Amino acid sequence: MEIVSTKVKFYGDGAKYFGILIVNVLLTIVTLGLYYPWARAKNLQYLYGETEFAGSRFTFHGTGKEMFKGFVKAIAIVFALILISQLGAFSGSKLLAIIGSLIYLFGILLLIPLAIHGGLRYRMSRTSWRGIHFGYRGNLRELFGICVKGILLSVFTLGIYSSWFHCNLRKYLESNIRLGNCKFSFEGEGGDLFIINLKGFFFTIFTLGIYMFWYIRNLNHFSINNSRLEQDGNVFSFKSDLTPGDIFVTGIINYFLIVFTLGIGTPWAVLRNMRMVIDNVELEGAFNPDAVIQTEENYADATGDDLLSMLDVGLDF
Amino acid sequence: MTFEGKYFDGKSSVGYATKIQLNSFNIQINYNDGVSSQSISWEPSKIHANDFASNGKIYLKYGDYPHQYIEVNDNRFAEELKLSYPSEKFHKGAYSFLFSTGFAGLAVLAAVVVALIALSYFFILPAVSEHLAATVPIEWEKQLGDASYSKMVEGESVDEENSKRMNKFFRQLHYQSDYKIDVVVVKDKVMNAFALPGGKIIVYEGILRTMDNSEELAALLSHEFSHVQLRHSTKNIFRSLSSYMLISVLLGDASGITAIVIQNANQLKQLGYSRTLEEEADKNGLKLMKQQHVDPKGMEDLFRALKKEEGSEGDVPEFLSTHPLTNERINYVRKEIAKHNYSIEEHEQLDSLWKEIKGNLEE
Repeated sequence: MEIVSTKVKFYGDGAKYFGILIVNVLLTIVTLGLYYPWARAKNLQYLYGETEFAGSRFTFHGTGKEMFKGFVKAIAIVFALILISQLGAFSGSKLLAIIGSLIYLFGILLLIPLAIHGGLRYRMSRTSWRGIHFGYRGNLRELFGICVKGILLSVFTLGIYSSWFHCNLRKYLESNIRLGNCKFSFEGEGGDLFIINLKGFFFTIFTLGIYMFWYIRNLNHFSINNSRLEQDGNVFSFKSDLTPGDIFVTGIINYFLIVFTLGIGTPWAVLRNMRMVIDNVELEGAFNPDAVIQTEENYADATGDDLLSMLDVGLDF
Repeated sequence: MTFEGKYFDGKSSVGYATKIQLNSFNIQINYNDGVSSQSISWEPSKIHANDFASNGKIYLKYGDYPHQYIEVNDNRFAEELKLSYPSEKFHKGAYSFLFSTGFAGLAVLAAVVVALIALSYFFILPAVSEHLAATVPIEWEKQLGDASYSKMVEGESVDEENSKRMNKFFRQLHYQSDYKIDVVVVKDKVMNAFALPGGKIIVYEGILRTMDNSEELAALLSHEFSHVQLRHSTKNIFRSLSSYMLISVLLGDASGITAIVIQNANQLKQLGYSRTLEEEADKNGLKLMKQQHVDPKGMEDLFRALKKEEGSEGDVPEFLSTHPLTNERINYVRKEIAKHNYSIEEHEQLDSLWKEIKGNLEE
């Protein structure tokens, strides 16, 4: 019997997630924010543990302690930059103020590739499926080059290049992600993404927002349908069946869930959203879930992951 | 007790069908790897912590990297583990306790959290901010004020002569303070005045034009001086910072910390004061005027004059739009004046300075 596709499925339960979040909030307040890294670890452990691929759940191995160490380092880095810009601003000299804010600005820009690199290495190393760990093998210098080129060109072309930048970044990152001896890759092209964005922008305006559901669908399909997984020389494609109708219905229900419960329904809404996206994903072709071999090494530095969260850089893992 | 499940050896993704036996001191795992029968023994103390959060599937992770796993698709497995190894830590997470309390536990906890958030937002944070604001050195406030001053006054022209007269006027009021007060008159028809932390008071020409006598000016300066003296801006900054931090903690959003920095010093002006702080400044201003025997009716007159401008067409006085509820203010100022006895004296120097200022405006 040949397997034609492998499903991904999400089992998260709103009540349980609500319980986890409420404990997280309570402990975070009581500890004046120090619990935050542990809260993040718990959150990820739960969400990963409820996501299933080929009948087995994912595991997030990160611990509060690791993430706390990263959290402290990330705070130190960001605050050092803040301090420099503030010293400049209060020095009374215009020149020093400008230099201070330039250092701050460039510091944050340089931190972005560093955060992506470190964050992805940590997150991947700390994620496993059937005991097989993910891994990120990218090179910081290469990533740096992609980011600097991408950011500069995006600025000079008034944002037009950002579609190409996004694709270059995704290609580099995904091609360096491993699940044991399986290798990911991304085949989306900047031109296609640009057209999706262009259509999304204008049609959403012309249709008074109605096109938005198709726009979100297109972005979702672009992101997932262009992802590949290679196993022993065979390349399999991910595929999303998300429809504009799904997005509309989920969005409406989530809106009421949040508004009519004064926000208490938010955990349910978040999970409904995740379920909508995840349950529509499958891996096409005869991927053999029993033939993945452990290859990656252990990596426990969470600084990059915490920096990512502080800088609010969104990466869809 | 024996359970059926899958065993993963940490080397490959093959899940070997296995029989799992919970003995008193170890967990016995028997499976066939396709070549021969295997038997593995796990020590319960080396099993990693597990909240049994997932519905249905239970995973146990064992040992050092690369970890071994067993996967069991049976809800009784969790119960049986707790019974078989009551003293082991791996099944005693805080979260698994919560799940075992069911809906009632969650509801109680949610109520506690909501109460705690309300308590910290309405009582603890204001008290802490007040306390912190009181400990900030004057020098720090002055630097903050100066930094935002240069940004605000950029592109505006300052009336140097009237600024000098205003400072003279203020000194004639003989208010005692550790702050060095510096009044600046800006040539602009905006009807506004505000105080910056550290002692700068900025008065726009527009608001001076609406005034008719020296008592109104004294009232305005007393009000702004009170903001400086009572450290209202500094309290405000601490208040908004701490509220912001609370909110970002609640939303689990550490990027908020970065965002605080991006807030510029020139936003100080936009912060605006709460009604309580405004009332405090009004009342303190009245008290100061009383001490110096200046007619407190000046404050009522000032608000009335501004209110009239508000009624007429054209520009709404900004002083009012950032200081809400004029009628209410006029009322409590009147009541406050009626409450106390005042001895009013003539202030020739104030009057003559006022005339000079007014005269300079007409030119």
